[in-house]
Amino acid sequence: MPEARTPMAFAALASAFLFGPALVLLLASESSPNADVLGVGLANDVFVGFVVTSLGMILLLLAYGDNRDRPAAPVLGLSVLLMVGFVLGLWLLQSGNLIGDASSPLARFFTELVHLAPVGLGLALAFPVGLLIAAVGLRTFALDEAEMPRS
Amino acid sequence: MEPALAAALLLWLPALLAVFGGFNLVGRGGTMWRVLTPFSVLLVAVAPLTVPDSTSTQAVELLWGVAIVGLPLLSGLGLLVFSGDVPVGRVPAWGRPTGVLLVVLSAWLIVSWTPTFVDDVTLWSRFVVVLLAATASISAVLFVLHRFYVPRRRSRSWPMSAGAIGASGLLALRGVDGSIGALVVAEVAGLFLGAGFALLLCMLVIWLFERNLPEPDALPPPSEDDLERAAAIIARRVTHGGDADA
Repeated sequence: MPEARTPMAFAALASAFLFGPALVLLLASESSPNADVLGVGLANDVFVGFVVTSLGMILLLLAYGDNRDRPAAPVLGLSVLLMVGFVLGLWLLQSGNLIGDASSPLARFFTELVHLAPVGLGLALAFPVGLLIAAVGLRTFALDEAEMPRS
Repeated sequence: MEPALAAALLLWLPALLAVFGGFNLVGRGGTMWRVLTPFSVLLVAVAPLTVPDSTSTQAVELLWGVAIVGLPLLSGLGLLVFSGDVPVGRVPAWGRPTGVLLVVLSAWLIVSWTPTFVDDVTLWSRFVVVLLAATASISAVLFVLHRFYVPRRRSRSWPMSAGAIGASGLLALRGVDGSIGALVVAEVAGLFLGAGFALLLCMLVIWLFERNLPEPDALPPPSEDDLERAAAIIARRVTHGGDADA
């Protein structure tokens, strides 16, 4: 791709990425909820996203340490993720009512996990659907004869 | 047994084992995981019957609804991909109309159906909004990538733009109920932020280990014997094709 088109390509990519969220906000029939409610929800989502991905990353680091003969990698990864998770949790607890009406932080975590199920399942289904839609066009090896090859 | 403990043992533990077992089966796939993974999936699927008092089962009820919409959608798109002018794995002539029918059926379900077995209706509404918005975004991103970076194939990008427009159209038809629009966008942003942070830390750990790798030992130049053997293999392949070495 010519360099002159790179900023335009990145701008187009960013616009395409934000197309879905912008459309949702545009079509929303009511105005956004209270900023405090939104903030607490966002803090919980950040924390749950961090914890769930950390679990996956620990498994990845276990496989990495095993395959590349780096036995200390999962230990260091676990330590770093635990430390950052602890600091992140403390900071979120300080900045807002992270636990809400739940009986315990663990109960709140599982409630939040269920609360995020629609987002996780929606994204998990959207990725293969998007890729299959693209594959409908790319299933053949045919080239555009009208366009000349670049090299 | 307390509902929380029952949910932990009959839903969350099997769910964790199912995910771990799934990854394990994709890799080496030990015998234990071949038994344990389907059993864990079964336990998760029947969680609304085994732990009906737990609020966690709402996620499984949602999963049932997702399966009813998602399976025909994925099968229909799969049939469309492997029908017609495709070099490998072509399906018979009935593939394309069946695929179109399944995709249309799924689109109709997405727009008009709300599963009655999902107790919390907002969960389903949020799932549909995320699915359609994410499909629109992913299709639009793939369209842009394809138009900018893939030469001599531009005429093949129409399904991606059709996917983005179609998902947006379905979202407009379905509508975004109440105030869930901003909530859903905030949830996705928060999830991406938290997940991205964990990913970044993991990459940092791997980088710390990989940056101290010693330089690989320089190999000695090929000997006369090596060169002669390579020349013989090339000559044989040029004359007889690749099967001569098989």
